Order: sequence, then structure tokens, then C-alpha cells
Amino acid sequence: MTPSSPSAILARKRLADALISVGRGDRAALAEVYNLTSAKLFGICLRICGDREEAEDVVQEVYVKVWQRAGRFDPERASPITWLAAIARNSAIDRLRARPNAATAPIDAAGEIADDRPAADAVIEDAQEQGRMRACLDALEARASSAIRAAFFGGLTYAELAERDRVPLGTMKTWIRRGLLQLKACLGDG
Amino acid sequence: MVDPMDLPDERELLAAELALGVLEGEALAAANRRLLTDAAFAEEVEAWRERLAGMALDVPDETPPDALWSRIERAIDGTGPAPVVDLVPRRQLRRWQFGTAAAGAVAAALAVLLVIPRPEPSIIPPPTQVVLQPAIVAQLRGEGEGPFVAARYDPATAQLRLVAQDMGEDPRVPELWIIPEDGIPRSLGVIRPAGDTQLVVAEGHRSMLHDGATLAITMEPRATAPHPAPTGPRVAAGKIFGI
Repeated sequence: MTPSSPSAILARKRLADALISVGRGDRAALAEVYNLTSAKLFGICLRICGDREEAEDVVQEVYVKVWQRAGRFDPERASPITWLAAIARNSAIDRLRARPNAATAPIDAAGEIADDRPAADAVIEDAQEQGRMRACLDALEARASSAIRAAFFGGLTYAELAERDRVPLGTMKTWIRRGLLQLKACLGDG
Repeated sequence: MVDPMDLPDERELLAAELALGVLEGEALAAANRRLLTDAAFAEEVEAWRERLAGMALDVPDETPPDALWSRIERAIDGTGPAPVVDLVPRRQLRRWQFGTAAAGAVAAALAVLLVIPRPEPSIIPPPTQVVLQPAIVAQLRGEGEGPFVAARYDPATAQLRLVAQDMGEDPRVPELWIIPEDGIPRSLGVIRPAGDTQLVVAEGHRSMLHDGATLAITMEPRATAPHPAPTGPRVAAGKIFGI
């Protein structure tokens, strides 16, 4: 995951340094991480939850987790914004699944995520890295990329995806597993 | 049609499936159990979580309300970064592997899987300390396809970490109990119905967390928790074992 431009390299380093300081208990650094990333993480939580109030709750939870877990961030291994995005996505999906009406909500949410709108800004995240993920997803069979997106943003399981697409469970598993392997090969980072 | 089982590297695929969140039932329970014991698997799950998170960066930004930051500040007030109880601490693990290579003891290598990271990672205790202060783990299971919760306790910090598989719809909350030899359940607190919970075990209950004691989860009314005694149905239970 090589950053593409000098400004992207600097932005990434600034965020990584701030996260490392948070790991040492520096609260001002947490405020900086928040200023640099809250719009991105709120966007992610809002996309998954589909509800502003709930997304705000999740974002609060995410930064509390960041405060507690930043010591685990390894700048040599993960891009800082990707590390944060993973916490935001997983927290939002957990919230989605804990909803009383969990069975219906994710399917609606999954319907609106197939668009390929580019992000509003690409200051912190690396535009090249992001473009590569989009290109790699688009390179998959349409049914595989659609299923992987629905699982990622909507929290759908194998069984729910199979039902959504009206295919046998084994078929859905094969699509997704094949898609995941292709994705990894395309991203070329492992 | 390619049989999924014929695809290369079953472990890698399982890690990817767990990170994506498509597993459920027994397959999910088995993958969560493996997280506790298989360091290489846990690393792959983490790598997949980060890889897949690239998808989230495409989502348009949205500015949160101004008040959110002060809410976050209030939420962390008086708390420092918690000593993280990691299922398989990665960075520590590498150092340990290096350190134990010289010792070459199989027992030490096993203990490596269960090392708890300390707040000051620069001070690496010798391997024997891990053997003296073993982590304690338990798997709490329900009937058949019921919920699965993996628990891990570090006696040194009194931190208990639980990873729960989705417990499904319920207006009540899961409450965790320790049941020692006398058979009387004591509440350890409420846990999240899905995902991670970390809690510090109250001083009076710490000595109860040992080999052979039972951890159990019941569904209880949210408003009044924690409770002096369970009232709701037991949804999962398991015995503690030390490693």
C-alpha cells in the first residue's frame, strides 16, 4: 500500500503519529485524530446504520475504542485510516445486528451501496489505494462483488445472501470465496 | 462449479469469511474458538479486516454534529488507555517468539499464544512468568445452534474479555455469572450481545475464576442489571479451564 503523492504520505504520517501518541494516553492527539477522521468515520457509520442518531452513537463508541486500543496500531502493517475504518465498520455492523429488527434493515441498506461514487475527499486516505480497491471489486463477477458489498455494508450472512439472490447456499459460498481470493490477488498485498 | 472445499488455503478463506462476517451458527462458533488458540489464524483475520476496510474508504464523508466530540470526551473522562486484553497480541507475539527461540521449550511456545500485553510493552517479562500466571479461558455455549461466547481472563489485571456471537433479538440484556463450587451464581456484569466486551472482575469475585468453575449467561431486564441472582433463562454456559 504505497501512498501515491507527497501530500498523501504526509497526511498518512501525521495521522499515524497522532494514533501512536493516543496509544500513550495523549488526549490532545485523540482530538487531532478526531478532527482528521470523524467525517470519514461518520460517513461510514451513517452508510451502514442509515440513521444519523444511531451513527453518532456508533462514532462515539469508535473513538472510545480508539482511545483504548491505539496502542495496538502498528504503522508498519496498516494504513492508519484503514485501521480506523475497520473499527468503524465492525462497530456499525455490530450495532446493526443488535437491532431488534435486524432481519430486515441490512437488506435495504445493502441496496444503496452498489454505486461507485468517489469519496468527497482524498486527503487522508490514499486515493490510489482507494481506486485500486474499487477497480479490484469491479473486476470481480458482478454477482460476487454485489454479494461481498452487501455483506460488508449490510452485515448479511451467507444464508441471507443466498436468500436475497435466490441461489443455493453452496453457490453463494463459492461466489464469495472465489471473489475474496480474486480480491486479494488483485490487491496484491498479501 | 468449483467445490469451495477444493479451493486453496482453507484457513485463509475461513479468516476472510470471519472478517467479512458471512459466517453463522456452528461455523461462526468454530471460527471464534479458533481465534483464541490459533495465532496465525488471528493474524490472518486481522489482515483481512484491514484489507476489506478499504471498501469503506469509498463512502462519502459526512460531518458529524459539533456536540459529538464533547460526548466522546465525557465518555473517556477519567479513563486512560485500557491495558488491552488481546486474544492473540501480534506485536508482543513476535517478540515472544524471538525470546523463546533460545529457550526452545514447547510449553513456553504454547504460553506465547496466551500472552497478555502489558501497558508498558518495552518491559518484556521472561517466559516463566507466563507459565506462573496463566490466562484462563472458557467457551460458553447454548443448546444446539444457540449462542457462543469465548471468554478469556487475565488474573494479573483482573480483565475479562468476551467475544460473543450474535445472540439474536431480545429486549433483555445478556448478564454474565460466575458459579463457583457452592453453586451460587454471582453477577460479573452485563455483556454486549454481539462482539467484544471487556470488563474488570470485582475483587471479591476474582478468586472464583479458576479451573472447573462455571461461567453462564442469562437474559435479564436491562434497567435493573446487574442483579443479585439470575431470573431469566440460561442461554449459554461453560467451564473454565486454565492453560
